[in-house]
Amino acid sequence: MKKAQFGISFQWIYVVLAGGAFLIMFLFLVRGCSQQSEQQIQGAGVVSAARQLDAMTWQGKTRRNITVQPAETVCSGTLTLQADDASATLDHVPAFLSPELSGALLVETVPVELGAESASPLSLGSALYGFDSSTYYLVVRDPLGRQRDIIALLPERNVRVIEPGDVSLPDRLRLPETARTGIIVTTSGVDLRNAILPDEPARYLGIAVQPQAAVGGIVRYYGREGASLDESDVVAYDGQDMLRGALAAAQEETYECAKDNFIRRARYLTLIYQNRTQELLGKSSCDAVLQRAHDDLADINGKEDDAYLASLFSSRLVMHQVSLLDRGCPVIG
Amino acid sequence: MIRSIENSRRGQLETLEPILIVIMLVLIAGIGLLFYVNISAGEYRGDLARIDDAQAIAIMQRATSMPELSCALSETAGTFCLDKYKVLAFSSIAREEQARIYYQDVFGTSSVRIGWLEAGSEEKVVLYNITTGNGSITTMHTYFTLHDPVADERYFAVMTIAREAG
Repeated sequence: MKKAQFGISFQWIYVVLAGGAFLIMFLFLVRGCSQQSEQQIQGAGVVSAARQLDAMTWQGKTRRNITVQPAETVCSGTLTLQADDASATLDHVPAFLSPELSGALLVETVPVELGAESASPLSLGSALYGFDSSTYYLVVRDPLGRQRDIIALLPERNVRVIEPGDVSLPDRLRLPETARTGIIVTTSGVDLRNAILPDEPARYLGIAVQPQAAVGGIVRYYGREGASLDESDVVAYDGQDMLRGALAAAQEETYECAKDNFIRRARYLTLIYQNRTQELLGKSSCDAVLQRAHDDLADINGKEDDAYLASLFSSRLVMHQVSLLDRGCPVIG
Repeated sequence: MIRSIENSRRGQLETLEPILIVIMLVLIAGIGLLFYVNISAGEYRGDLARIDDAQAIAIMQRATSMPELSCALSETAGTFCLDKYKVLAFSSIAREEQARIYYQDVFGTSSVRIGWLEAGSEEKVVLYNITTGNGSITTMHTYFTLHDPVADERYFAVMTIAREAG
């Protein structure tokens, strides 16, 4: 009897051990799967954020909370062109995020009409561009050499690449005399004691990305010729037509990506506008202006990428748009 | 002898008890898991259907806000307005495969048709069409204004989106 009881106890021990081993194996399997799922979710999260930003650029005038995983620069999205009442306003920007931005973000598209008297404040991750060729911007980064996401550009003739140790900054970087010059900086170390604030704010369009926790300490200044800037705070991309105030980015690789996206989208738009003006010819008393607009669009559409952009951001289309609007004719787009 | 045989059988039965208990527990757990998976699958199918609907709505919203199609602000103050000549131009461009592939990000695997009433007759345009014919089709309709900027007329129009699932 005792032998049997002893034998039975041993059997229960075997069962418990076998069950325990099975449970441990199961737990390891579950943990392995969940880790794999976590990685997949993280990867999917980056893609999801990019797709959400992409969707926002297509829709426009949206505001959304997006959670972004720490990742490399996400270059996605396309650009929407939308004709304003008085000019061919560029609305929306290709959606991209700098690697410094992660976590919960509030993302919004900021539609701005050219000629707006008050400009919206910019924050970390802002990308801005403008259609007005007389608007100047400057790309800025902090004294530690970290690239910031606040973007401003200078027109081509005033663009200079500032080398470390360059002490003659005021000579090399001559800001144009215009009420629309804008300089946007992020940190202290930029000496603008001699800056003269213009009457009108800089004009720009863009998508603003704000960390939910806090505003990124962005200070916005305006400056005119002779303003003193700390050399290590300034970086500019030289020799690129887009620096007339079109697309912008904090890092050159995202800038190039955004530019490619923009060109691809803009080409379809200008092609549609060209076909549309072709359809409108002969249907109204506006043929003369429509024909000129059509011819200019055809000319622009036939150009290579950089020349296409330069022509797109010239005032030709804007002038036709204004002319058509003044005559009560169907506009370009 | 007989007692030893009986004892042996009782011992064997008692040996099998824990094993049988474990087997029963596994069976019960398995049946429970089966029910859970079925219920989850049903919920998943429901979620998929809701996502399908949401994506169709998203397509409509995008189409009516895209400058490729939307009315110029100076010509109309209304939302959900498409420009007639932009629609015709887009339809023409979207016949090219490269353009269709490009706009697949917006319209997905679907067929988008626009119909409107003009001067008493029904007009139709296929705005975009990429379908494989392999998945199930979900169809949604939305109504909007189609603006003719030349005649300055506004027509009642419908956009039909036939989305292919899977």
